[in-house]
Amino acid sequence: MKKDKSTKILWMILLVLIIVLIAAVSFVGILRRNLNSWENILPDYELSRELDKMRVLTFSVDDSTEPVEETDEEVTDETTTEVNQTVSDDEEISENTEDSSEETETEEEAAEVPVNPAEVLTNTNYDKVKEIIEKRLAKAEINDSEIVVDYETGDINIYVPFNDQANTVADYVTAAGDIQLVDTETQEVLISRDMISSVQSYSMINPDISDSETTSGGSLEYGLQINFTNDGVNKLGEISKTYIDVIDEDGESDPKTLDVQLDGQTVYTTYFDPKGDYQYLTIPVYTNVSESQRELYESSIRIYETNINSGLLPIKYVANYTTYLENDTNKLALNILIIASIAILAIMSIYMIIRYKGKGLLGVISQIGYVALFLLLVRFAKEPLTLFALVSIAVVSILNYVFINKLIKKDSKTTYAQSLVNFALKIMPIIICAIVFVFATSIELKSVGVVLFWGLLALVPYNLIFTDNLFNMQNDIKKIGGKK
Amino acid sequence: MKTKLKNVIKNNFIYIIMIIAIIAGGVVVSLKGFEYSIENMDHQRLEIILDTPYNEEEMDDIINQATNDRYILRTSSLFKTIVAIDSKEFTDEEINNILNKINEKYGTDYSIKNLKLSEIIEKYNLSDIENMEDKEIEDAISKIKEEYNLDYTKEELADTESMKVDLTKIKGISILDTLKKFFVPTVVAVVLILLFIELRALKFDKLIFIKDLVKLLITELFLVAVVAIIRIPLSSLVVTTIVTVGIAELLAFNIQNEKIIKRNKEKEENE
Repeated sequence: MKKDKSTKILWMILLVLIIVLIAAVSFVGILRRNLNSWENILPDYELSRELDKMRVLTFSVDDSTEPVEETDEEVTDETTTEVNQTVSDDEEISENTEDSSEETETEEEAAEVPVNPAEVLTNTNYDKVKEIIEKRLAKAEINDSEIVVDYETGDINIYVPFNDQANTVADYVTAAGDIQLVDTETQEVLISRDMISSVQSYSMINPDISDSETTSGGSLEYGLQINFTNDGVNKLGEISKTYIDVIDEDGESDPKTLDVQLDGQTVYTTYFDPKGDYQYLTIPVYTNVSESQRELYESSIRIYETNINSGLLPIKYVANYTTYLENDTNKLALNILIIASIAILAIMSIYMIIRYKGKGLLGVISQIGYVALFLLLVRFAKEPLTLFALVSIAVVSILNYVFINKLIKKDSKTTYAQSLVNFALKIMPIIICAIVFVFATSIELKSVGVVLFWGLLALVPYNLIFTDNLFNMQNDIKKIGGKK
Repeated sequence: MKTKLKNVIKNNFIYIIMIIAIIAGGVVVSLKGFEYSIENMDHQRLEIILDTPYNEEEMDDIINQATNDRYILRTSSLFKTIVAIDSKEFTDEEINNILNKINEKYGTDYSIKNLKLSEIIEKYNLSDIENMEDKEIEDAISKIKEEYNLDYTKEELADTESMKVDLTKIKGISILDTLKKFFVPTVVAVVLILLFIELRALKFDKLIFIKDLVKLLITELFLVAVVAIIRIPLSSLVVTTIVTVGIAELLAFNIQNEKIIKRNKEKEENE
């Protein structure tokens, strides 16, 4: 009997020591020597931009002009001159074309049109721009962002947290997200954007690069797989029969090629095998990429993928300036909130000890351990915490306090599972909110959802392992003491 | 009949008060609309460059004393040497008050003249003042005096280094964007919670879904009406609070429901 009691006491001490350890890790951290200071290797709490630092990126409607694109056959430019020279052997025509080319060159310099014509600068298009940028930022996992459009000027302000991701925001706003297949010589559009359903980025190690080349340059390849709509697949079938390799009179290869253009820039030139059955196209965009450049090109190809898949921006934007901001008012409010939460939990703990004495003290120790474990999970969840998410931390802690109270009061016939089910049925609205809000797009709701989810998930095993066992052991010790 | 009506009124007294408040709120909204938080409306930002880092609590005290309006205090430099104060609109008097207090505390020498300098230089084409004739400068100075009631010297107009105070217009974040993001998850959560309550209470109250939904809508509309009547600035924080109160109410409905279920179960067992 005495041995039994000692074992129970030892187990209780062990559980309390584990709780102290969890609390120490959570509140103090795991420290590692870094030069002359100590560094906590645990991830920091991530605060939302309104409680921490943020950047505001301002973009303006591009008011520059560009040369008029000549599509009329009568008006020539350098490309059409070359075409005419290829298709005709008549020297006279060729000379005439060259003459007219010279004449129009001066006209071209004068003929400039705005990049964004007045008719595209409408509120509907500003809304569309906002919607597309929202999609792009969401796909790029740049969370906690806010887009503000000035409908008078078209200017866009994007509020994002102050981190490395903020540097890529401009890539999602200033690129139109266009993709098309054009004839290399005539620049005639063969497959336009509306015939392309989506693109998918890929990366691979280029098997054509030998080991020696790999060490000097790189063997990584990043590209896009272009998927087409039904019309696009049909058109691809058509052009795959004409854009093929041709052997000229001298027996040399002279293929008719097409260019794949991303936002007006040719990234790949190719031709087809006439026997092939093409459903999609795979185009390498970056080749011979070395390991040290991997991150840069990986990010770049993902930006292309995201921009193209999110839709074509109807208005062209240019990056204007960036502002750094930190909200002092919210920081002051945050301090008050933290102090108030600690005070409330302290009062509740004192009440528990006074009311339930020994069991109350064990309950408080267990509650401290739970809060510590919960805060550790919040650190690892890496979800930006809003003011309400911090309130949710306090709410979940209070729920755990209520559950501990129930465990203190439960009789010996009631099992832990029964107590848990009864408790879960009562707080079901909070459980439902936790699950639904985790999937919300609003940072306010998502942050609350993530906090509630991890808090409630931790509550079940924690109280089974620690709280319930501590109370049961204390009951057993009392019983053994009573029998004696 | 009269007693029945009295009972209905007595039992639903709180909801009747709420409905009256909702009607009053509707009138206020139709007449005056909502009051918005600074972030959610077009506002102004007064930025002041300080030579030394400032303490946020001290700065908050200074601004609090210098202005009666609502404001948000921000830092716009990593080293806390630029303070940005957001407010609906700054009057010249408020700006003077703020600058005077900052001068006292941080030993700077700013006045409204520093603030207006960039605007004046642009308006009177004074960017190349060193190469302008004295007559032109004198004319500009007298015009400035006439329009702005501010006395500048040639040296002051040439000293662009002193442009350390700036006032800019900031576009507000649309509250509708917040509401749009809140709508679907909140509605899904509420419907699921009410369905849960309905399923649990199926045996004794088949209409509980509708009843609780009506009560919830009344409470939510009441809160919106309170926000409108007492002119609480509408912000994402207020929207989140209203949603939270709604969920707390559903939690209360559920706890009440579970109590009834427990009571009924005990009754059945005893019988």
